Amino acid sequence: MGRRNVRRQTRALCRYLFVLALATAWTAAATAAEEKITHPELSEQEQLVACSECHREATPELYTEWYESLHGVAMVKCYQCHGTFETFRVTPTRQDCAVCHENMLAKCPQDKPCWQCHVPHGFKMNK
Amino acid sequence: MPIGGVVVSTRPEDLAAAREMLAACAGVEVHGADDKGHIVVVFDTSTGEEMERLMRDINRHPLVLHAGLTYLDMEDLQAGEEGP
Amino acid sequence: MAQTRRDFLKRTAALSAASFVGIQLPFTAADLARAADGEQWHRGTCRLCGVGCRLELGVRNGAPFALRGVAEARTNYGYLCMKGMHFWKCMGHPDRLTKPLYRAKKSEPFKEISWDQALDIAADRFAAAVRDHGGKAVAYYGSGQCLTEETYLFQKIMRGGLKSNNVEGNPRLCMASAVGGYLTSFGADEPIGGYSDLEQAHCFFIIGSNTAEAHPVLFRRIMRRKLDNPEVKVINADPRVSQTSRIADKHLQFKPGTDLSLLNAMARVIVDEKLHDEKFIADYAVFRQGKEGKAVTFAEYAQSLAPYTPEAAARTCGGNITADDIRQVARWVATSKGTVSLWCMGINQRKQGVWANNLIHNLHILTGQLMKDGADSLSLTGQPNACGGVREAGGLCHILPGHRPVEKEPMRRQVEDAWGVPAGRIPAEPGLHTMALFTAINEGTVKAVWVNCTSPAQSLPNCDLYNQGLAGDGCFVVCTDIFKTRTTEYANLILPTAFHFEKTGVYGCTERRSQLTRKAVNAPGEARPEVWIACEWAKRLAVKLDDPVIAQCVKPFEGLEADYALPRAIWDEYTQKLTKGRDNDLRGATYPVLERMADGVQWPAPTEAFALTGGTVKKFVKGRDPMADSESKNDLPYQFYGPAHEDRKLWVWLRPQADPSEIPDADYPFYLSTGRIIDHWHTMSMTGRVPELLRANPYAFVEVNPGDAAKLGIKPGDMVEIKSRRGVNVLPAKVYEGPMEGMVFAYWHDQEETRMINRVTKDDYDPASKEPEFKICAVQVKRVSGPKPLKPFIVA
Repeated sequence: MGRRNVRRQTRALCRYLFVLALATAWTAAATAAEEKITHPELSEQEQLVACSECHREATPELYTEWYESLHGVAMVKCYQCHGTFETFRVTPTRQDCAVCHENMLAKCPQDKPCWQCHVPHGFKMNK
Repeated sequence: MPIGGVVVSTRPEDLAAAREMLAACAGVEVHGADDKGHIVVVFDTSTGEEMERLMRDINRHPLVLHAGLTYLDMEDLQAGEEGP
Repeated sequence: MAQTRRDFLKRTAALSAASFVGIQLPFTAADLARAADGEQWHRGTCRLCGVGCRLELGVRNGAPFALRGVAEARTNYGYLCMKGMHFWKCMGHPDRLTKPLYRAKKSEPFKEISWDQALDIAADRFAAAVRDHGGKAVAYYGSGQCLTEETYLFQKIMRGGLKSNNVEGNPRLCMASAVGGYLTSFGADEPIGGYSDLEQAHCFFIIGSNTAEAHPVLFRRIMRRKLDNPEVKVINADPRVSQTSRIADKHLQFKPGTDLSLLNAMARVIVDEKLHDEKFIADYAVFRQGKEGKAVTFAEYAQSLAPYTPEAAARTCGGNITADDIRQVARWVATSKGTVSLWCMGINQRKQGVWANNLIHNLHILTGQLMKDGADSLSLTGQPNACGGVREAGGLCHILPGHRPVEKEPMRRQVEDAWGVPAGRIPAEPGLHTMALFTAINEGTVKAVWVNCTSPAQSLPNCDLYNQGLAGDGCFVVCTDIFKTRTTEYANLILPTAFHFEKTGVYGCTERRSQLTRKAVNAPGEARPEVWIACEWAKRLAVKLDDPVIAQCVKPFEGLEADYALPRAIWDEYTQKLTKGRDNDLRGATYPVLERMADGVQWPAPTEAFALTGGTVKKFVKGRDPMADSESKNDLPYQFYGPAHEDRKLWVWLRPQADPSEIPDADYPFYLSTGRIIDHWHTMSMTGRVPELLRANPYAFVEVNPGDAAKLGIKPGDMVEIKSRRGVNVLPAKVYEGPMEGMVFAYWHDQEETRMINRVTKDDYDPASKEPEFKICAVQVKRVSGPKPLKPFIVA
């Protein structure tokens, strides 16, 4: 997929995200705590682009933070924690981390998710 | 569709030959053996009659000292399950 | 379903009988109860690359739902890459082959048939070929992804049964040069050290490997070592900038094929600056030259390096290499407290593959960067069981199980005796190596071939040429596989097989470590384990050829329950009888031992007691390798008892720079290199069916250097034609460096025929190892159009 297409698409995404953010803020008080966040809808063709390709432009700070982190250097990619479109989760569970870090789950506090201390996407310990 | 758990006892020196003989029988699975001449076997036949016949034939075989049934289950073949 | 009710009852029956006489079975009543419901985690080895990560398959209510790493395993310490994480999705996949399929002519559609009919046909066609034309007219082409039990059993039937040494496997395409390198340099195949050297190394020399994407979990160990110890040096030598380069202190880019000069120049610096280890050389090394391996002196060796001054080598190599760079990296390699070299396809898939391997080993022998912790020349194996199955258990046309050359009569006798078959049964000559085999299929002299767990229609270089023979009705083709592939398109008979965790068996990974995977779930439909298929086939062959010796080959395994007892008996025969006293002695690595290990056993491990400690971490070192002690001939601490060097020395080889088979010229001005990306495995038949992995890289791309792209008017995403003297591909472009100027790089995973890069690659091969030069050929590069919406393609 060409660079130009990605830019057009990410501009569209940014617009969508902005609207979503507004809508969320507006309705935050009114809605229940549990709200299913899905990835913005993409066509089948658009889904055939690696997460990082779009997110490099759509969420640049996040992308850079990930790319410079151990996960980035080790090539632990977005979909490994967040799933793909049908299985997408904005917030991975402890079980997602367990794929590689199962031994840590028993050692770390049981009452919080991993990411509270190991802050994404740099994952340095939040002291 | 019975399933039977059987211990076949042979003389230790006949162990290999007995295993070969058992392995060649239809409906017989060899699961393990020890060096004293005991062979753990599972019988899996279509009918109870066939199981009885198998027990009798094996007990009569010159290599076999004794074949003892330790477990028996009568199972109907369900739709979708594999046959023997 | 993980366990049918019938399975449950049969196991209960067996347990009850066993308890009467106090016999231990491999399962307990507790296992059965647990298997009946709830969540269970089953330990095994990853199905993909040669790292050998240990993992657990999560099964809930009989169905797999996840994979996670094993933290205590000394291969991966709990880490998995995305492929290891997701391959469980292949297990219940709707595309799984579940019934035997047959067609008499390849132009006809396939029909479903029974196993009885299928095995009969397979036996019939092979028997006819053997009857009319002898063992030379049939062949088995296996895989570094088959279990050791499968490879061992098939080659036993072929050699002892059908009297054919036409036993080959796809490791010929990836590791043969590494085998040749180890045998000619050290006298024995496979690394002296292993992964434990990574955490103790002070210098990493990574050449011809994109470890970050091809061996991701090992890369994490190197990355961690580097990040925790910034003074550790990482050298990355690769014409292409890759993700591995991110941690490199120095990245050397050189024209493809000129690395022989680079390596010789490094040796030259080491010798000139007296950085070599004179004592180590005096005690353990000799110098050899030429086809005959003529012995030469150190002085003659030093003299042979005369042309390889750093300045001259920098000129030859081009790229970004300077003479100072060469001096710098040579000094780092020589003087560090421990240097580990790692390499893979960039070095092996070359016309000069064996020589390139030798030149890397040279650096270690000269500097004594061997034998101690943190120092090793560690060839990275690509596939999970190229070592364990194919290299060790007799899966290549010229070697018998236990690293025995088939040409040596005493070796054949030993194997025939172990098998209880008459002397003279195994032919004296090696069979056809892979490229010769597929050439013979083209020529019509091989009438029947059994292709197991691999897809040569896509993975052979210059594949169109060899697909002609595969497509013809002159060769009967049997494929055992789990999915349809480009190769099953040429089959007469397709037999559905059990996948990983649907059958039991051993994989032996890069570092001589054998690890066991137990069956955890049933295969779908009528898919069966290969060991059962092979036994049934052999029995029928014996009848059709009226040759009881063929039946003799599988007699020890008759009637054994196929999920556990059968593979265990095969493994026992192989390890106890065929590896006894050989350099890959695995007698201690019995199934009960392997089941107790988090991660398995490194050979040599002659006893169970020693195997339970993990086996041999460093070969050839007295006190650490039991065979170094038992084979010791003198007081020196290192004993190089490998089977190929009678003088028990390490050989430093004089190897000159030599050009690749096809380099750019006026008509075809670009280098083409091919390789892998992290999300996919080989021909994508597995990873292409996992949505997460497919979407990450849905098709093959060609990487074009920005400088070249500017000249050719290529923008990112444009469709680009890559054309060689053999074939054409049209691929979407990524524009970045990537490859150096004058070179393009294409991924080889894609099954789509316009993006299948092996239609373009060259099939010339190393004359010693017979491994093809996938990595270098000459192409034209031309922009065809702007971006097009492309569709991923998987053979349905």
